[in-house]
Amino acid sequence: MKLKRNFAKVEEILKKHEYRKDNLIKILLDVQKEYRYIPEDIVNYIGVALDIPPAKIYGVTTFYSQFSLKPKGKYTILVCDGTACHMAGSTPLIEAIKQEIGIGPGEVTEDLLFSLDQVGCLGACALAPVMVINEEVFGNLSPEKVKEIIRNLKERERENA
Amino acid sequence: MKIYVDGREVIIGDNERNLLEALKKVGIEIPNLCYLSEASIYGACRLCLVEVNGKNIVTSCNLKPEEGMIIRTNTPEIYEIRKGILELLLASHNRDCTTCERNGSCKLQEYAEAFGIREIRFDSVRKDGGIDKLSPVVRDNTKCILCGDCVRVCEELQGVAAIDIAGRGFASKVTPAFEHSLADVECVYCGQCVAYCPTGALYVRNDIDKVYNALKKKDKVVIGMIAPAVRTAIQEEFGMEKDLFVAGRVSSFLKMLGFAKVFEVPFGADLVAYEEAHEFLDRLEKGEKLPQLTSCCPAWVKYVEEFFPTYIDYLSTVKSPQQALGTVIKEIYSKEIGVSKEDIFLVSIMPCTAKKYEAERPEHNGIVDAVLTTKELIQMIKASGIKLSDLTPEAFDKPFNLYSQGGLDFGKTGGVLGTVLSVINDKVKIKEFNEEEIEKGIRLFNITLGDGKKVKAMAVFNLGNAKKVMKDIKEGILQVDIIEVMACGYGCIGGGGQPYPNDTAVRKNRAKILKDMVSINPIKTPTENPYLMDLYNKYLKHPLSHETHHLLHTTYSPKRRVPEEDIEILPLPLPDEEKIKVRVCLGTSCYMKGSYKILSDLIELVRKEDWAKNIEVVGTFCTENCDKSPNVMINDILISEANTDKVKERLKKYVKGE
Amino acid sequence: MLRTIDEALNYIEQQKVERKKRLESLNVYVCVGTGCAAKGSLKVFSALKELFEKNNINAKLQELEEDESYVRRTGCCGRCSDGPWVIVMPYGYFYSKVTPEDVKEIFEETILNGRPVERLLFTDPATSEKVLRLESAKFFKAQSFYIMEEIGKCECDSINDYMGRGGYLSFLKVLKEGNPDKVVQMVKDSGLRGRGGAGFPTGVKWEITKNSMGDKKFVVCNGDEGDPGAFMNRTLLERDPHAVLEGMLIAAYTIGAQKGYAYIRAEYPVAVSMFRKAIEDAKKLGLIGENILGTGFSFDIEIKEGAGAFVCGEETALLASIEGKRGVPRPRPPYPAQAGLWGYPTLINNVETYANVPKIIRDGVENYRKRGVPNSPGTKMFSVTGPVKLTGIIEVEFGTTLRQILFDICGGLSDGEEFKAVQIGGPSGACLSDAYLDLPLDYDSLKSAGAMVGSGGIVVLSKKACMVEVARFFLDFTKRESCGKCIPCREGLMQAYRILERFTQGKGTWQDLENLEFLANLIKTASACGLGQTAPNPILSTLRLFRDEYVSHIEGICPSGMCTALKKYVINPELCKGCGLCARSCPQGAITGERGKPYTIDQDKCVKCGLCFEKCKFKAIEIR
Repeated sequence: MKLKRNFAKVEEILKKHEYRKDNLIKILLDVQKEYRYIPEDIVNYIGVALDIPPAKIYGVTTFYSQFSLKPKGKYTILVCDGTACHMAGSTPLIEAIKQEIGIGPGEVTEDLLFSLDQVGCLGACALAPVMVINEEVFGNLSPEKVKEIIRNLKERERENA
Repeated sequence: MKIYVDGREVIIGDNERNLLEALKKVGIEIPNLCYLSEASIYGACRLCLVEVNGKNIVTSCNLKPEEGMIIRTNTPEIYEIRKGILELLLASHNRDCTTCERNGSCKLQEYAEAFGIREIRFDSVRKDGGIDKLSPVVRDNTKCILCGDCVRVCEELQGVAAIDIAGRGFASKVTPAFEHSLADVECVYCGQCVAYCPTGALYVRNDIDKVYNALKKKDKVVIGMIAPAVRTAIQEEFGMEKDLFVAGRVSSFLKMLGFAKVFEVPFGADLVAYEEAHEFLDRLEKGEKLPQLTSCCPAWVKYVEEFFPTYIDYLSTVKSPQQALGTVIKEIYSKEIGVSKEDIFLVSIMPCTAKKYEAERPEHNGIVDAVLTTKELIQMIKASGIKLSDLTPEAFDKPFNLYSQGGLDFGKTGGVLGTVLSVINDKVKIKEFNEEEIEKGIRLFNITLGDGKKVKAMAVFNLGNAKKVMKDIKEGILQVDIIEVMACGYGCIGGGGQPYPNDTAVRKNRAKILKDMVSINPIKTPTENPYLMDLYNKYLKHPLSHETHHLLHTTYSPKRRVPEEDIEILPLPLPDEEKIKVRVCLGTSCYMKGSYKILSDLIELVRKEDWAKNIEVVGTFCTENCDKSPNVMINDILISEANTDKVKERLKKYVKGE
Repeated sequence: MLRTIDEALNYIEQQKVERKKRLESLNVYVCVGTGCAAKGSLKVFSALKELFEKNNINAKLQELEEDESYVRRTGCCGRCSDGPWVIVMPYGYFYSKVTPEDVKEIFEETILNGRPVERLLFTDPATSEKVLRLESAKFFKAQSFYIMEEIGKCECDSINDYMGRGGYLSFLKVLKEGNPDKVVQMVKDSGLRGRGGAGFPTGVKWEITKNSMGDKKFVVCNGDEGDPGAFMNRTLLERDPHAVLEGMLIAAYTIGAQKGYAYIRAEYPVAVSMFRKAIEDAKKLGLIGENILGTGFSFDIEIKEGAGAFVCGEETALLASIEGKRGVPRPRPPYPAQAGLWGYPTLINNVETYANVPKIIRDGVENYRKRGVPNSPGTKMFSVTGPVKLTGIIEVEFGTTLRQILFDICGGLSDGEEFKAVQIGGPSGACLSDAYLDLPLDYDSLKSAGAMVGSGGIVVLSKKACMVEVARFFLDFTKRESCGKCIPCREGLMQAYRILERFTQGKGTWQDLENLEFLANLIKTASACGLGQTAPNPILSTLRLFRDEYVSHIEGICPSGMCTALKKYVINPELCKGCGLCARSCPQGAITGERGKPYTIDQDKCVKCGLCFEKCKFKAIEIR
């Protein structure tokens, strides 16, 4: 799925980060935020604008977990699998999500509404098990609570449609 | 300085880069798989561990030697660690050695044998593989040990960086951007990655079968020609290191195989140098297209086409020796022997990987039918069972068997330049000549011609150095009149098709062999080459003549660096006849000259003006017209050196039907 | 904008007065740290603000600056699971688990009438009684708050509040004295050791960086806290970013750096925004910029975000990341202090390390060393998670024992749980059994016990935890985070993981055990960076202290019952009535028998789904 592109946004991002090569990661983070993934043509564009070989940019995007080369959902669900969360039960949460929207870790729903990833410690261990959806942190979860949160989001989408 | 290694006193240099290098120079080899003296220190394989002063175990590749250091290179603990590391590597390695291109020359195989590994304690877990066979440089990730040598060489020595490591942890792999094939990205096929790869993960495409198939056909006349650098390296494989006559033996072998004729590529080198010298004098006089850039190295040519397209016009239009001689054979010689050129199967034996690419370029297609590297030649010899050292050297065939010292010297850095200068000397005399090494791989020559004119020349090896020089020229910091560039370190003797090992030490040795061979050659300069002069007298008339231009000169064109489809910017859901597709190029040259502004102006235009409503705007990554950037295409019409007004004007006309 | 040191000193004195007044007047502090925010504290904050705006209050209100409000943002007190926290001054009442619905009552009772709302007060688990103020609770008294100061009453987004607490006085002192060598000596004498994990003497690092030659020098803050279960740095950055910033400024001045980078994980957006505000505010006042306070010292700092790679906590990988490259560690030597960012001398210290520096300058070496033990002076923030009554962030002096932490501060194991071990130092750390409960926590003692302080994460493991599974879990993490450069880590961790996985599935063999130990030692000795060198620690420590569990697994038994694959469902023939319900429920057809006689489960067919166990009305099925 190729989102329409005119690179105006990319130019904005590049300008914001002063066209500096060492700001590549910040630039890619902004691209990821804007497009929900890192498209190949944008990588090539950045390569041209910053004079960085595309192979090097590709190496950077595939190294860091925050970057995705495939579109992420409108709601990116991150289930923490750090020590505390794991011990407190992050696996049943993954199961619950699968039951509710049919995807597993690393997958996106067909309508691109939700994507799920299992990640390392998010630093909210006292609230284990923890889930983050689009930077909003949900703690002290159970499979039922997770399903409810997701159902609410689906409801919100239906209303806005 | 004095250090103690495994209980013995050892004297090493005072200013060595690290312990590993220091000990290598005195004949103590510490096992390692990722160290390159030519590139940055990486520290990935961990094989080079040593014990220092009875305490720490550290890698010797980044250990600075100190006076009195007590080193143990092979304690039982270190031995076990090395063995464990090798087993770990082998566990996830494609161990089909018998069918591997590096069978017998693979470093991993060598260590596996040295350490007597018969059993692997760990699970066999294959790496995510896939073979990229689409270009002359073949990649097989199932055999990659992730030593990073290829990546460092491509980036640091060659300044190309067409490959890098992607992913993380066990999933790491060496790949071009987005896992494209090397054939689709900015790789110039210099083959230096192949030269430094310790395993069979990178190798040169094998074309031996093409030659055998041709030999089978009764109606084909198989002709071979051998490059200078081949004869400096083939000895290494057969224990014939001191042999200066190996070329003649190879000629003999090829005849035994069924080759009708075997010629000398150095003859082509003489021809090229002779032409190019005249081309240079011509440019000097007119004061145009300077600096002249040599064009015998196809990796360098592609490099210019990819990265310095505005300098394409500065490349010498003379073909490379392979292509020049090939053309002469197919177009002139064929008539002399009364064979149609379609019946000739021309095989070029080269030290080089890029020559396989050159022979297949549209500009040169059909001249050279197969390019074999030194390694492939070695394979043919070994497969035949014939002992090369027992063969009597045979003279190469007339009329392409005589060459000058310069022609042979093409095989190493400075050879092309030197030969061109020797022709110039024959023509207008050189009064003064001095050489200065700016840094390793960049030499500057200050020359005064007979008429007092001062000329500056440069000989460069490694594309990374060429990049530096070109950047300085672009910025006006450097003023030179002619530059010879060899993509490989030390010149063609270090080509990707040469046998292993292919590092600096070996190349320096090959350079010496070439020097010896050159010195015993009776003909000094191309002007003294009687057969060359015959060629001119009979056919070519004189340098830069109409005939010569037709046969021996060629053209070049910018090359795109990324495989990219058009990028939809303002797409229109209309059939093609009803819309006007405007493509704005966003490649480097065009971007730097402001194509993005044209793009955004165009978008504004389409949104605001009514007459522009059928215009579909699309982005593209290269129209391959980089020297005249920025480029915009309106359907099939190319507008180069474009700006918004120019494009708007033309569009208005187009909409009206013009 | 402050122009001279004296102007700044005066300004700070002013702020001290203002702050004193604030604490004596009516002000409400709401914790906006990630933990409380996740529980809705931001909604509580807005609700309170709204109430203040709508109502007129006649008592004890002071003048407000522009943008100032009586409802203020404060940071973590360490008790995240009891949040959202709301503190009302001048009374000092600490309200826990506040919801937006409670806000009205707080407003009416406490704010308007000065009365505490009983039901919202914190219950001290040690006494089961409510306390008005957190300072009265046992767990609070048992800690040594030093870096985490003014619990509940420090404003995380106000430079004025920080100055009101005496903040930036140390920086000004250093500037005024103009003697960098003296500062280096102080930091050396203080015995401060890197709080990020390795515990390298900070003063020595400063000295080397100061003495290294270079046209440029950099200071870098390592905020890439990636240890699962550790969130001390996040807490500190969120609650007191200026403390870290001041430390960096002092460091920069001392070593001669002109530019600084704060590298903070992308997963900590609140920390990033708090630190960003801190920088902005410091810039506005003139503490950052060109020719600071007319001293000729120029310094600029920017934030660089991590993008999700644990290995970037390693110094050289962090530098590569700041340079915009893959976070792959570089060979050392040369060390960053000699050649770091772009080859220039670079000082890298942890968030908590920097926060200690202003305190050392303020209190002097002797006083600083009064806390802690000689080989590890000062305090350390630890995060405690697992089945204990009170989890969260704590701060204690070095030398405190595990027993004191777990039982005095954290209230002991939760009901129904028995202590088995602690995992200390994250995935690079080791497991310690109950034999180590009285071990003083300091860098050297832990090292000799085969463990390390690490970043300070303590995970408590109860008897329900399987130590083999714990090792497997940590290996899963480290192998996923391995950068992939060096063979021992990239290949070794993957292979070690496979072995551990086999163990947890009941397929481990004696040969596997031997190989595992060999691999662990190989990876530890031969890896290129700290990640690989410490990743085997969970394996090695569990092998040393809980070897019997590994052996049990080889024999097909998981002693703690955690490994599902090793669970055995067995029908007790004495209780079985032969009704056949279990056999009918079994999806695998693994249960057979005759009506009226005891049934049996075929272990080969059983997939441990547990359905039979759920269905049996006679509790005849046992899990072993």
